[in-house]
Amino acid sequence: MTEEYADAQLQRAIAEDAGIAELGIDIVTRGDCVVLNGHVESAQRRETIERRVTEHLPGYRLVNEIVVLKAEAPGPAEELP
Amino acid sequence: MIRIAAVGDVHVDADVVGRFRPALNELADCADVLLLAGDLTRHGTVEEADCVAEEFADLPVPVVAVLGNHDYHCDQADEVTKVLRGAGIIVLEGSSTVIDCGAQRLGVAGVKGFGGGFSGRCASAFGEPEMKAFVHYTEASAQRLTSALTELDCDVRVALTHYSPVPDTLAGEPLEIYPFLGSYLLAQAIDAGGASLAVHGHAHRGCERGVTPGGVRVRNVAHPVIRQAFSVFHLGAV
Repeated sequence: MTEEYADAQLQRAIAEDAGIAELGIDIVTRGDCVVLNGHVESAQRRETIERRVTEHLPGYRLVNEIVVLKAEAPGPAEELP
Repeated sequence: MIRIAAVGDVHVDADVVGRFRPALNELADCADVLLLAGDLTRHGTVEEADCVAEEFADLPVPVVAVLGNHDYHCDQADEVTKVLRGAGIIVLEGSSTVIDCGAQRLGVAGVKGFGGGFSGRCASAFGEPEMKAFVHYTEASAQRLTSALTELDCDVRVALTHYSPVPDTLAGEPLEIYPFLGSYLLAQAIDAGGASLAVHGHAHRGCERGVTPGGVRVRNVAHPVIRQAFSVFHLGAV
């Protein structure tokens, strides 16, 4: 399978796999490196995606830049006259 | 002035329960209502809806929600809606609600909405039945939003959708997927319905602020965009 088909298949798996269902994750392969970007709601979800990508692309060096979102109290309100 | 708190795309499951609660407990001090702009669950299961209910029930302000595409994934949208309503959350789909906010009455009209794209680069109801169905679904959704907004008897109207009514708040998303992120038909409904503010989610890589062609302010409150438990808007601030 060419790299482009493999990337497309992996992108769909991250969205469609029952245990993942993330539509906003960017997966970019550069040489022997695969970089993940995006935001998720828990560390568990971040790790699940990493595991799935590692299974799909064995041998690639993985750089996981996915951020776990915070849910802290908001900053100042936006005034809308 | 009406104080509106809003967040979308919280994607709650058992691993998220409790994360929003500390901030939500402060709502009484900063908001009159909390709007949830869809994608409340990961896959749209009843079990996940139970988690959403646990996280957003028994808050000090009314909670008004629309569902998102994730909430439809397991074909249990009706059951999900029932669970949320059972927890006291007002779930809108082509419908509206009025909330007393001191001296003013806030009307919120909501639909999930759908895609199709934006003026000059949008889908048309032409060709294959699947393509026509896609466009007709969005048209029907926009018509329901127009009706829900115009039928409101209130002082201030707010439109709540999951999909975006404008391309402005999609900036940061790949251009190629804009037709899957929203439709200008929703903006047309918002303008026709006399809304003062439109709130949506869905576009995780988008940005916060936009305006409809009719001049209505639009805010993308997807959690990955606002990166806090919710945003607060003071509508009618002087």
